[in-house]
Amino acid sequence: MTALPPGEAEGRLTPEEREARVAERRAARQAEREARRRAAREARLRAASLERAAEVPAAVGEPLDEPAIVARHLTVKFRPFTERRPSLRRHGIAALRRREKPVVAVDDVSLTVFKGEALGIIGSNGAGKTTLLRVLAGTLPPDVGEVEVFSREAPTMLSLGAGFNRKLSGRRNVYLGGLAAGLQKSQIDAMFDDIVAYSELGDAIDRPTSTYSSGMFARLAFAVAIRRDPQILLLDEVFAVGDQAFKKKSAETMQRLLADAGTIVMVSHGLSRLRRFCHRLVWMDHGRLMAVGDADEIAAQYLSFLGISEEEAAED
Amino acid sequence: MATASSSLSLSRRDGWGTYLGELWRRRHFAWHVAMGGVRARTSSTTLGLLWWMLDPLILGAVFLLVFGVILDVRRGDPAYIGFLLSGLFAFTYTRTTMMGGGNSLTSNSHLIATQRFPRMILPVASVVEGAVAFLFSLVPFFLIAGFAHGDWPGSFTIVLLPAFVFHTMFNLGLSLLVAQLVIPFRDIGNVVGHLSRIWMYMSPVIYPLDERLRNAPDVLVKILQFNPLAALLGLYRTALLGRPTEAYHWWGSAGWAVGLVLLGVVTFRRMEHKLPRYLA
Repeated sequence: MTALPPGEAEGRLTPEEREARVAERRAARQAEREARRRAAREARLRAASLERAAEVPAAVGEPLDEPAIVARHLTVKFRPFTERRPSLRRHGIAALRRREKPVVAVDDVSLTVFKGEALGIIGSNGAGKTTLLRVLAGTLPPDVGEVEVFSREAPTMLSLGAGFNRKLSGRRNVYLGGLAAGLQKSQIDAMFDDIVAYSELGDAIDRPTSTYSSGMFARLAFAVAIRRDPQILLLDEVFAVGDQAFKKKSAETMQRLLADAGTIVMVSHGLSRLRRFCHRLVWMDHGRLMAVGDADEIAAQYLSFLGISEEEAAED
Repeated sequence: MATASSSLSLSRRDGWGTYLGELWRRRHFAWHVAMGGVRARTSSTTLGLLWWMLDPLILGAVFLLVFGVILDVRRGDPAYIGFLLSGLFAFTYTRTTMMGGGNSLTSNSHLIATQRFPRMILPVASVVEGAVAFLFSLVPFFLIAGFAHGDWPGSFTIVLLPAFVFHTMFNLGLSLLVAQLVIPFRDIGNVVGHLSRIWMYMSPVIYPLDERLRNAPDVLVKILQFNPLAALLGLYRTALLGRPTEAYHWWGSAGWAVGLVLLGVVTFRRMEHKLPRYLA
């Protein structure tokens, strides 16, 4: 059969054939669009992962052999209802006794963190990561076990979900945060300009913090915590905060802290970041310590435990 | 950098000396939290800090209207305005601090979760905040009572100092005790407001106790005089209005103040390590 010009050819086709031809072409066009979209998405993902790799700082230096935090046999139980019993019983309402099984948030965890080390804690929701961090910060006394810190002061904990007094200005919150952390007023006076400069808030420092964007708020909280020159920094779901430029700066500050034999313990769901930034990872599940060790090894173990491939994890 | 030899145990509890020392070292923190509260409450209003004087003024006007004019409780007391307002403002100080201790802990739960400090600072700060509000309210008090009946400050006003100190100690103790009940068992918080209202009507805020008790049985007199506020308000009436003091005003105020503040501080310290679990 000789090739005919399309118009002529179609002219001689039956209506059924013509319809089939049209449908065929439509399907081809759609497939092409689909392929284009897939390619674009892949390119976007590749670019994003490249960008991420560039922005996520890598671990620096080698941890020293000196311990910074030694935790022995930590156990924390929450008794949501039974905790109330003592006060009720004391007041003679023993009838309201309830025996609920305690929730074991941290189950016999022993851990040593070294100076100059960045340690990441990974695990699913409810694994006890934040509870463990709060015990290491000394704000939550454990039921069993002890925490010893080799430093002149208790670790500095930074958690952005927990803010200052939102009705007050940034200036007053700097004082509130500093005083809460144990600084004297004169010390805060001395470092105040430094904190404002670091946070890059400028004149906004005298505005109520309720008018801040979440990034501005995060920058201020980070600046207050980091300008105190902590020897041990505990971060709860806080990594690099703020916009790209501030992220770079805060990451560099954390790297400098490590280089000066400081210690960072961080909890995060961003596995790829933790893997790059931390020397070692701790994997927790249901309050128990599943594994501690080299960041890449533990991350791989954790992923295979979850049944997630590396590629899927990279998309987080 | 610290040497490896210096170590710090985070899980051990400090002794009393260390605890009270730390509390004293952190006094600026307590002051800052209190002033933050003072500012935050009126920060979004046009009149701002003026509300700290307008609030008691309006409260006093409402009570004066109800009890002084409509119900006419004064029964011949020519200076009833001073009597009512002095009782009302002093009682308001106790009422606000009663719930303030517990509230200061729940509203600052983020600080408790992330920072190490003696938790008692927060109830102390809320008592300081209440004290500032009370001192603010003395300005409208003297303006009204002074212009209405000539109840201006005199040499008797020196009694204001011990009265205020005893009252503040009593309020701190009460606030610490209420906080210990309310934090683990929030339902109690719903009752405290009503209890404070009953307490006010049982106290000589609106009517003078001594006059009403002239023909009452001895036991009832003793019971009503046992009320810490009966003694404290007696001192305030001496300080603000120059009225005669009775012996029980002094020993009642001092006894309740010292007893309650000791009880509150000791019991609060014993339960304070459990606080993060209730607030989590």
